[in-house]
Amino acid sequence: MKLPLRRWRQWFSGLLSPRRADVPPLTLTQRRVYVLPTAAGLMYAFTLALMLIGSINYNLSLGYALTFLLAGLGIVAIVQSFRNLAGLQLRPARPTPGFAGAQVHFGVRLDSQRRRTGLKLSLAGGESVLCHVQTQELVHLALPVQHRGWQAMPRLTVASTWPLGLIKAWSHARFDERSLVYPAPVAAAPPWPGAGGEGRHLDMSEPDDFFGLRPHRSGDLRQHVAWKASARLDEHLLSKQFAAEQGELLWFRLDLAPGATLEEKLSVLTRWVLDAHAAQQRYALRLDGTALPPATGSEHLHACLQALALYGPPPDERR
Amino acid sequence: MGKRDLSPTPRRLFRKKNACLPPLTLVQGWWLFATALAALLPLIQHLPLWLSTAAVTGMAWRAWLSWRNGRLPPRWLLFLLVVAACVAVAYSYRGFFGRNPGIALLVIFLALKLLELRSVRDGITVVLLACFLLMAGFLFNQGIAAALYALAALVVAVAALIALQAGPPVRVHERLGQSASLLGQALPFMLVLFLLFPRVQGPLWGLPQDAYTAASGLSDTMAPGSISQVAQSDAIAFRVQFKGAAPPPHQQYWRVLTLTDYDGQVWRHHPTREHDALPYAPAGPSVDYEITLEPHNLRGLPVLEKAGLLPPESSFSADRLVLAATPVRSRMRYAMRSYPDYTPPPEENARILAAALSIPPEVNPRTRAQARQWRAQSSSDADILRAAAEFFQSQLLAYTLNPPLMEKDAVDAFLFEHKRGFCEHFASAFAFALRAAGVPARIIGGYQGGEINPVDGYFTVRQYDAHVWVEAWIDGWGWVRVDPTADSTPRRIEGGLRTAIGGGEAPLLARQDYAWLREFRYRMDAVTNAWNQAVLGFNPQRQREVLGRLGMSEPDWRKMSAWLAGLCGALILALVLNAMRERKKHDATRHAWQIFLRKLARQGIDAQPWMGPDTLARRAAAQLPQHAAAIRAITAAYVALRYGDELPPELRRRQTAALRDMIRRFRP
Repeated sequence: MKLPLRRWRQWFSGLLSPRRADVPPLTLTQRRVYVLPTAAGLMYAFTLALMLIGSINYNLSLGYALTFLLAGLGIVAIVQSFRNLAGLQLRPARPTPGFAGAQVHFGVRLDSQRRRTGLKLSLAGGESVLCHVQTQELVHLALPVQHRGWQAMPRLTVASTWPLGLIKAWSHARFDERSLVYPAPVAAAPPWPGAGGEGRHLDMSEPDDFFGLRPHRSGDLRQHVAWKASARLDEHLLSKQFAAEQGELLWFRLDLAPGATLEEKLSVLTRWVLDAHAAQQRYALRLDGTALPPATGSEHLHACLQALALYGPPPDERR
Repeated sequence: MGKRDLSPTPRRLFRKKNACLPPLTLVQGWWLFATALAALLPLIQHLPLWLSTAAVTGMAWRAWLSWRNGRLPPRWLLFLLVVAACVAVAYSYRGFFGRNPGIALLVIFLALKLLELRSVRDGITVVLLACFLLMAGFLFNQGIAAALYALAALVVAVAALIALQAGPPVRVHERLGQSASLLGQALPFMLVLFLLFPRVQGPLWGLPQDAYTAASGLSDTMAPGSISQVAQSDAIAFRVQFKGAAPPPHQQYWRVLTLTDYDGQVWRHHPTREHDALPYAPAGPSVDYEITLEPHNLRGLPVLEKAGLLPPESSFSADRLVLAATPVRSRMRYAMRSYPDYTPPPEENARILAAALSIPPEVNPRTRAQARQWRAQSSSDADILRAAAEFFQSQLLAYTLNPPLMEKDAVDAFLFEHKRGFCEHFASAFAFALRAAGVPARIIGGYQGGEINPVDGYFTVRQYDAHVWVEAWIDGWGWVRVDPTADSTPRRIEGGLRTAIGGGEAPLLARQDYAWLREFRYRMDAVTNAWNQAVLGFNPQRQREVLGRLGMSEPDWRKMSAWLAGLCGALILALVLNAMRERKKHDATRHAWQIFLRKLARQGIDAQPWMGPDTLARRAAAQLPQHAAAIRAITAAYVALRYGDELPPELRRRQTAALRDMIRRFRP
């Protein structure tokens, strides 16, 4: 019984939602704000109908007056609910990446000329947050994510039933914004490759040990240019990188991570990277075609995690 | 991203209702409590004692729970309470149908709902129930004070509705202010709807008997002697607006009903045939007036003698009454014209005359004997009438509102033993005596007298002006009005009830003393009358009149709806435009800067649109080197205020003031 209703709802919200991405900053103009009575609003209307019938039946002049005053209040509620949204300015803020299986946070900045109360912001399939805006407000909305890679920002809904809860005003926005989803780290990490001595063989690397590729910078030695790889890309030159000068450092490679599938391996690597970062160890990461030279710090961590997130073919038919 | 992945809650066989709805806070609970209290208060006195006690107990219980932060009673207990209360209502009112049991049930639901407040949805139910009960209160009282009270209660109810919404917490008076502001915006809609919503004359269906509790000095039966005290009410029976001067007191007899059937104890109204047209064409001088009649649950419309006009939906009965189509159960207004001096041609239906002669045998033997004596001594009915009047005067009958009980042979007891009574005794005795002597007679019930309210000029007739008198049929003359009360104690008629009886016996407002009190009462009456005429009496007919006066030709529901839609649309547009107008904040910083720019312009330094403050300052400083320091300081202060970090308001105010000061002192 519930199914057709949901389908209808989906059709209806599809009808109202914008098809193209909105260009920030997005101002909620009159045409974008919709109003409909809530369940409470319908109950209110029903009560008013009963009161009107009562007034007619008993010829109650003051009953008419009360009914009409409440009817006027209903109209005022429509206008006020509409006003609470109309003119609000939205723009996406920098999203906060997260791990698959957990959540990412999409930021939304709200700008307003006037005070707005009880705005409920929600992402399709995600969290909703209530906020009041004086002039400017920054809201972060969590979205549960399952798969690593890019997660597009789903449709954003701003809704409000202020002031009386009888009328719901809402508006949709779709921003061309995406957040990175890191692979889910495995819970129980196998020992680092370095710990068993296996990974450390790279440690005593020859100075010309090939480590990976990176974009060419002026000043790179000509013999380090990876001509073949660059030819495939035809955008800019790539330089070979060599692991040389590091002392105590960890080298993480795909083939060193245990696991049956690529995803499992990536999960293990993610865990290693996180643990290495937590232990403030120098570490490097090499995936096929990408190499991050040994370093420490959060920037390095995020670079590694990003490489892991975007490595290889998407694990699922991601959009 | 599929939505299916995101339902962590396992399915339950019995999903807890309202589990997903936000619970109520303590503050919201108090708002709802105040709303329910405000809605219940005016009804308490109209409920049976057990119910008002139960409602107050429920409220007190709830207040105590809120106070002590206690748990709400379990659902099964509330369910039992609802069942018990419904049974009690059914027993107390003998059923659920009708106005009063309906109100009783709503009161119970409201009181119990307060004990079951768990979610916002419950809260909204409480507010809606409260609104309904506020309207139910109008069934009992539609006075100005009741209207103001309901408005105040509504402000609280709407405040509770706002408090149910997720908003930042505010103080009580701010919350009330929000509510009053919303209601203020709704007020124009109310006025437009009140004026233009096409009115329908109720009731829509047959109303239960308890719908009317008319307090009237009149009823269609009369049993003189069986009551020893007349309830003297100073409630208003009807108001009259004479076009011209009021007729003299001896013509102020307002006929409402006839009492023809007499069984020895009780006089009863006997319905007669009704016509849609006047049975005669009246002539002579006329009195025009308009009556606003309070509901009296009778069909008879008060009219002065020789009514010459039929109001809409009324008819003329064979005994010369003007009858409304149905008993008057809401305040009604009608125009009337009477011909006080006109004598209709003396013809009368034989059945009516026969009915006006019938008396039961063997009651009141002494009066019968007296009547036989008049018959024997007189040659005509007119002589008998005269003899009877003389006899009544000779008996030295006294007018009192507290006569002794006279249960058997009441007429004999009144005329020969106690000799004290009020109009019912006089009229009953006189009519009986005439009938016993063979003269057709009937009793007329209605009102006599009234007084002009000096404040608004309305002629006011109150329930204590209720009166009965006699009409006798004299061949050649027709029906003749005889007022035995007036003939015996003339002051009752000429001076009203106040003078006919001593001070202590009359109702407070009928007394001669307490002039200030009467003055105050006159003013109150005038205000109440204006309220009644303009607001409470606004029925379909009145609506058409008012709209016609406002310039709408032949108002009907189509025109009203069109106007209603147009005006409401205009109001909504105004509301939206006002709401969408962004209030431009007065920007003191920018204002000060403008003054500075004007001062520079007077020195020939024009600020071009492409110039930022710094560029402008450099140029100005170059041109006015002696003021370079001031220009730089002003510009720096302006830039800091305008483009710098957000400052705390106090600091910002101080820096703006400093900027203004610098600019004032800048005189190039």
